[in-house]
Amino acid sequence: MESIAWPSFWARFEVYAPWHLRAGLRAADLLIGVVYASLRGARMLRLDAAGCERLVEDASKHALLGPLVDILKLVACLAYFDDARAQSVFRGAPA
Amino acid sequence: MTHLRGEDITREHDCRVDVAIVGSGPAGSTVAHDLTRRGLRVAVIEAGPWREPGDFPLDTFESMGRDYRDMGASVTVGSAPIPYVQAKLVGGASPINGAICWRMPRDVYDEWVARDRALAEGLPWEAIEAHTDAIEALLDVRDTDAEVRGRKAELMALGADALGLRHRPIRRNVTGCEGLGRCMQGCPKGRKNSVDRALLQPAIERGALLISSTEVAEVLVERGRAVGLRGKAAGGGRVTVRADRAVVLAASAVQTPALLLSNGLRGGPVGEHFQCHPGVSAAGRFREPVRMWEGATQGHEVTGLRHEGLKFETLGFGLGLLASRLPGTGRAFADRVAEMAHWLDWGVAVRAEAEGRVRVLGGRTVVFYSPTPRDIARFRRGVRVMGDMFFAAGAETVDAGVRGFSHDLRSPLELAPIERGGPTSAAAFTAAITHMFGTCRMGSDAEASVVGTDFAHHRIARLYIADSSVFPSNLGVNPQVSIMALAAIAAARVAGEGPRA
Repeated sequence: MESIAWPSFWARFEVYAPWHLRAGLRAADLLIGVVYASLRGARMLRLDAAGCERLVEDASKHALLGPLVDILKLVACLAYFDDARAQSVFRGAPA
Repeated sequence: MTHLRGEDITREHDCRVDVAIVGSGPAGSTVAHDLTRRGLRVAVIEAGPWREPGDFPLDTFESMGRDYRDMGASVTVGSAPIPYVQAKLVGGASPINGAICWRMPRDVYDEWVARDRALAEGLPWEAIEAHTDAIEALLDVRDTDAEVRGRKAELMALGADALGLRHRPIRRNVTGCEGLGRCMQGCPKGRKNSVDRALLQPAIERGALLISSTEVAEVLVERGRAVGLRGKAAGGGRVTVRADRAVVLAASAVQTPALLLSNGLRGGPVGEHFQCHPGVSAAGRFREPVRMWEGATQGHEVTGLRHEGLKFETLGFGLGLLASRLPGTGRAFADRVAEMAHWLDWGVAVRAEAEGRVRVLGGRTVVFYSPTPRDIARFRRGVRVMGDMFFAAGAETVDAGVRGFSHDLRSPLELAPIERGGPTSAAAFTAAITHMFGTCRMGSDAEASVVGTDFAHHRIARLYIADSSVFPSNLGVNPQVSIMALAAIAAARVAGEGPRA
């Protein structure tokens, strides 16, 4: 994921995504990364990888936060497979 | 005449034709095709751009961003936010759908006529059949070739056989399919006989004017008669099309009522009676690689439970969308993505009984919709049957896509509770809405319907509606060909003829 061309993706996401998807994404980021983490006595940025993973996994099982995790997953997957290298791993090299 | 790209229209553009049409999907393209054959001057205004096969992207993000309204992320307001998908390009959904072609089911037609006997005269069955024959010939509708159906179709056939359910290859409007699995992003080889190529292009060659990338905002009405359309082009110019004979709305069961409502044309139940086919999906994991992205996007279907309002289909998405539907988060999710070749998604289209409504609030179109408890019971049943088919076809585990249930169900016994005592909320399911109907319902009673059985608006002269918003109910099957058959009858009415082909 680290090598994905995020700036190019986000630039196009801002053009393509309707306001409610952009707002939903930011709300998800805020609610899970700040509010939910705080309620569990943690700060997202200070969590190690395993801690982040547990936080997101728990949020995904939450009745209200679960759909927001789904939005985050969707956007992450769209970004990942927007990269031709990720496509080629599954589809093989382009003809 | 020709094709004007909205991006190039930077100033005022006026023209005069016989018939002005909003929307270039299956309905609008059919009307344009049939009216130009009768020698009428036609203009089609479409909100989206024209795409050549070479324009269609490999994966989901670019496709959704460019060719789907709101990036495919429009959601209903109701008991659960369910995404509803609308295209925004020339040809409407036709260039980016699964190319599934169904003739109108006779049982649905009989339901319509039982509700309103006048429909038998306005929409004679033999006329629908004759138009359907002509459309199937024009689109080269045929069974999906066995060579390109893919492993996902073979496994669905295996599962359906084990359960004793009727199944068959999907009939599609595709010639020479190579099984690239990219129908939903648009066929890069141009093998889909979508309406932009099969009907609109010939209409343009006969003189129709296509104005693309132009959003219609106004239906011009003078002294109780529709006289034209006005919209704004992507280039910023204002487009006015005057129509000497008729204005035809064919912008979809969401956009057509939204256009009427935003113009204050509220006569009759405009926007009411919204019906659709919520689709619910589930996934199975197989020991062997099944490479869901290979083979015809949608090549096989199970029709044996259509009488219960359930029709099962193989699915195919771009990799991005496919991955996002895999269960879990974190490392477990990454592991599943890495072995994505082993996962298969199937879907069930539900003939839901719920009725919603389309409204325009603060300039935005809103769809209010909540499935009924009986619809949710159909969701549960559909998921259970899909799971049973997965296991019968050899799946090791099933993810029913139902919140609160394990992502790794290991036997039909573990599935059974979903049907018997599963969730009663639509929010618990992996669902999306396609195929929308009924928001400008056709009928003989001007109080209970928006258009008459001649497709003419009950209250505004020379205004016709030709898309699936006139359908008295949903169909339970893919509507593209039925929409076109009814639009062909609408075109005959606009031309002043009877309904028969």
